[in-house]
Amino acid sequence: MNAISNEQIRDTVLRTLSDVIPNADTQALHPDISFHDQLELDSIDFLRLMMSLEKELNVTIFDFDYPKLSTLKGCEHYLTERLGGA
Amino acid sequence: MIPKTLNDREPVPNLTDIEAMRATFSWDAARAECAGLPDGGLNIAFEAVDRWVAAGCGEAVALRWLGKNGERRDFSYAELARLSNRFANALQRLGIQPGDRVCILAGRIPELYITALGTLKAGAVFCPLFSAFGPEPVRVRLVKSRARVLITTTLLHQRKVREQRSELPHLEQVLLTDGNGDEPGTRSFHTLLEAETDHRPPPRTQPEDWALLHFTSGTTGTPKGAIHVHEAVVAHGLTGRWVLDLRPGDIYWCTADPGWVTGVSYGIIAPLVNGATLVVDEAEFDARRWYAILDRERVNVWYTAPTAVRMLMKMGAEALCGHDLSALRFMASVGEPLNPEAVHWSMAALGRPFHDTWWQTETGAIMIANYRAAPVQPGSMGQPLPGIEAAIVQRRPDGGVDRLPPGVEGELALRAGWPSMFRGYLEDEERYRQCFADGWYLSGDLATCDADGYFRFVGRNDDVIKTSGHLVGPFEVENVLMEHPAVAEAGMIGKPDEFAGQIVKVFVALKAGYEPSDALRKELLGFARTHLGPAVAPRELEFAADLPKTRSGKIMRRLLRARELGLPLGDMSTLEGGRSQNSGV
Repeated sequence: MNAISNEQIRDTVLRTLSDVIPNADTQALHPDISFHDQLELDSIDFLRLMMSLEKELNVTIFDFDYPKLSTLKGCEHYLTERLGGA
Repeated sequence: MIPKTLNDREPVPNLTDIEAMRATFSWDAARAECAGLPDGGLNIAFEAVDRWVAAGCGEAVALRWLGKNGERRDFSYAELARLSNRFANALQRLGIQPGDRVCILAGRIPELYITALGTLKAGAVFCPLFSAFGPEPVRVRLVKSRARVLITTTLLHQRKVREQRSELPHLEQVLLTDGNGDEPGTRSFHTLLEAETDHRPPPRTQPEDWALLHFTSGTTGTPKGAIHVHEAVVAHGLTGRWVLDLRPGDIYWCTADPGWVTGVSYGIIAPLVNGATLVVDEAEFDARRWYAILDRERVNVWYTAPTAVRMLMKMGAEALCGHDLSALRFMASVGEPLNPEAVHWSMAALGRPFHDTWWQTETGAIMIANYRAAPVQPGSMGQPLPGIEAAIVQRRPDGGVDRLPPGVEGELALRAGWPSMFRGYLEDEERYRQCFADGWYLSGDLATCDADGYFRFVGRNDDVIKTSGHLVGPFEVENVLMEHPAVAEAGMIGKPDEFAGQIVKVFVALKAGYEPSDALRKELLGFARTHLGPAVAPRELEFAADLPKTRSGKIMRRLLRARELGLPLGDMSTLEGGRSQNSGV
């Protein structure tokens, strides 16, 4: 698997997030506060975000790991680990 | 058909012989089971809370609140009685009169429950607004309800109300549950309560006094405010006992938000009337958290929604691993048809079936259900409650209705007159009248009934859709999109979705000078979401050169649906209503 940079992962998460939540101000997102608390996304939105990230990054996100991806930083950590980024 | 063999270690169902009960049932007998007010009259909050205190059960836990950050707080029946007395006293001090509307816009926080009960005690009308509504649905409902008081949080006030205050002349008081009164135009909910006493004379409401106002959507016009009276508690209590099998001491969890009718009828009233402990989880859906709650709290009865069940199915067995759900005695679902796969999954994964139930905002309480003591027919909403006469009918051109034989599709109708039947749409007598014919309430849902008396949902006879169990009408969605300078026309449909049942999809025709692009699509979706909020916002948008219309210029959403589903456009007979409602599940 080709390594993917942290920046690429972050950009992909933000782009995917803004596709799911088109009115989200992704630049103002606090990395440690959950998406739920900042963006008013519902559980179906969150599911779409997870499934879109899987598709965009060609990675499997285990369902039981979803809570680990509830913040921007959590997404970055988890996806970096799964994709072998540095 | 899933037969039932009742477990010897579990209590006998509250309703065992449904047919026998149907033969002998009378609503008057059910009414007589209410405690009633000391001076006569009837009050939902008194039936739910104070009655238990008077009976010496005040120390039992009424509400177990689980905060999203791990907090846990128990409220006894006595504590809820005292706090709701304080809130009712505060409303009185603010000059709120019987019949005045009190709205709440908040998540599942303890103050919501105190507000609901206190409002009812004060004789005012409780009107919940879903916290995931955007500013526009909130404004429309505040205007239509003419609410004099709004209880909300600082954040929700800032996001959804503050800038619209000048358009809300009736709204005199905004009480913030987390504010100290510094925010202009607001007061602190808790400071007000602290100034009041725990005591209050019993309410003075009568069975036909207004109690609850729930907004619901139609195809045309602004949302309709369905009015319920205090007598609805007769049906709340009875259905809690017979359908949900609730009994004093049960631990009960209703996952519905009180922003919708289920979250009030069964997320506040029915469990308390039956002396149960109501579990409330503030957090959003999370499979592991949910299983942990069912396990740790030893939940006996669980009422949830098909969308949640389907998401649990997706999460698979890992999330369930290590959790002991043996306390669960009964599981039910509501909001949209429960697909047979979900029933079979629950048998395999949880060892017992989900029981689908059917009712509407207008019916106030469960009308048709699968019962604990009866076989479950996967895919069927079940049989009518004793005391409820349901039929499949066809409207005649002269305004009457004809009953249809078993197996034939038609409109689901209920013989009017049960206690929780809505008593009107706020300031819309005409639309209320149109819901009735020949003594039947016409639900707008298309269904069939088999020879055994089990009903099956087929679709809607109008253009409203169900997304995650919530009713969304095209009017609100299309109207907001039309506010955007690029939009000439907009048409909303429900697009089948594996989890939500349906999602809101819009077709948009642009004004001259605008060209379809990904950037514009995103802008329009963002625009709609900003105004409507996540509960109502479209999730997909497709540009169309123009939208199909009738000669009189009405957008033909049925054709848009047919286009979306790839159905032949000529085969209109198969498109009646929201048949797509079932196809996605």
